[in-house]
Amino acid sequence: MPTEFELHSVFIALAKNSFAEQAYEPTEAILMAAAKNLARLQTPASPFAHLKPDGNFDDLLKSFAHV
Amino acid sequence: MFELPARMTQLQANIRAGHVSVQDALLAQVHRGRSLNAKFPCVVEELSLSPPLDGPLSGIALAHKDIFQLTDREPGCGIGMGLAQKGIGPAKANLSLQQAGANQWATLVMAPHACGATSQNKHFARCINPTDADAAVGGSSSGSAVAVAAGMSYAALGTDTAGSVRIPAATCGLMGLKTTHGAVSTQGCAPLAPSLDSVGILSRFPQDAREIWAALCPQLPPQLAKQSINCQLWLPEKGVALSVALAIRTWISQLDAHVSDIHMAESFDVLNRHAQRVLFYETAQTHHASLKLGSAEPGVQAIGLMGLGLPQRWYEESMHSRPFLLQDFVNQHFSDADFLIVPSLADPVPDWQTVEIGHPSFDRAALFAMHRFMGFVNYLGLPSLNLPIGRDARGRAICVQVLAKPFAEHQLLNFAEQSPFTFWNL
Repeated sequence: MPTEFELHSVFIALAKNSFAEQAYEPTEAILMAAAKNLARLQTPASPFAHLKPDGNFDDLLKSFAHV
Repeated sequence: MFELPARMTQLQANIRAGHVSVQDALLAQVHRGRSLNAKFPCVVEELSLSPPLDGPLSGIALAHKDIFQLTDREPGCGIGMGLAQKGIGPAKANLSLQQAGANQWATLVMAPHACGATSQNKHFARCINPTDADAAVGGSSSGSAVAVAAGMSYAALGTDTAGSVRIPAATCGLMGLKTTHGAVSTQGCAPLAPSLDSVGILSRFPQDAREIWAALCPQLPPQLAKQSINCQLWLPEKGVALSVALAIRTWISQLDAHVSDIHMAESFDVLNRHAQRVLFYETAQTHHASLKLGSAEPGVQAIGLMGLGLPQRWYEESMHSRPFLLQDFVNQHFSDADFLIVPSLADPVPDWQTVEIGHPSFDRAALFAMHRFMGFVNYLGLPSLNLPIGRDARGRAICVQVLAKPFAEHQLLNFAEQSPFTFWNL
């Protein structure tokens, strides 16, 4: 099991990389807030990762109402 | 001056019966709106009336959130006045209302760039809640809620990305209909997070909202109210104020429907995280330039900077999972039930100072309680109606959200008409 510190380091690295991809240089405070945010927004591994969606989302919405 | 009735549908009937002319009805509404704006300031700009087309909304003068393009006018989006821009046309939603005969007499204040669960906005006078001057006004469609609650407009359009129609409606005792994603075109409407943005309607009465909905989405015919209604109710054991929970239970006991309690805390939590990922990421893309320059409004910064720090892969995962999670959700909640009822605000409507960032009385938890149950609905794209169901000890509205299958807006409004509680006894 990773320690809290290790987890935190992972999220800092993730956030740093994302900011770099967006060509944005965060302050230390913003970087830390973003890392904390990522820790909060983790989701379980998706059971749908290997599935291909059948059409786009708005079409799916319409299909429920047959419109 | 013609005395205006309480309901838009009554005014429509008066016009149809020839008791009042279209012109006199329009002038009476503008006159009333203008005079009430002195007490409840929420107008950005007064517009000149255009010759109305024939239609069910002929003689109705409305005011809408200042997020929609109008003829020759870019919206102010809560940061200032609109900009004259020769040659541009109205947003699709506004055009639909015009084609049904409606007029627009004013644009209304909003949280800057639709980023905020309250009406806080340094560019305009503070919004005053017409139902209780000490109570907060929710955002971001804050002016729309104030105008309707004050009686300045029978109904108003807003937009809802993470609760921006339902929250202000809940604070002001109004119907707040967040429509199915894509049911009403957002063309000509300033975006925040396009995958989540939906046009919505605020009104005092469900019948008035129905008239607006019918004009926005005429391809969906009205449906007869069902005789036997099945509902699911999710009332979380934690995180909802006791007074809110008790009011919901009381209302449920008076409801002519079969209601089953359900638990969905885990799926709600996952959906909420996906919703926030999409909100953060897309807000960052929409406001990329101002975020990089450091000139973004505080609300945009708070959300957008988190979006810049969010891996694109996380966003893509959330978007990929979205249709599957919707399918699951519909199967789970709407196979046997017509509606899913969840709380709107987790706490009673707070005092405005409590949710004003920077105020000495500011309480972060109180602000969170205003939007906690909102975002997951936008992620799923479902329609949801904020419905007042009671009053707290101070007389402020207590509301629920009623969710339904995609494109079941008429059924939601039928349900609201059958509700045993009316906030506006007019």
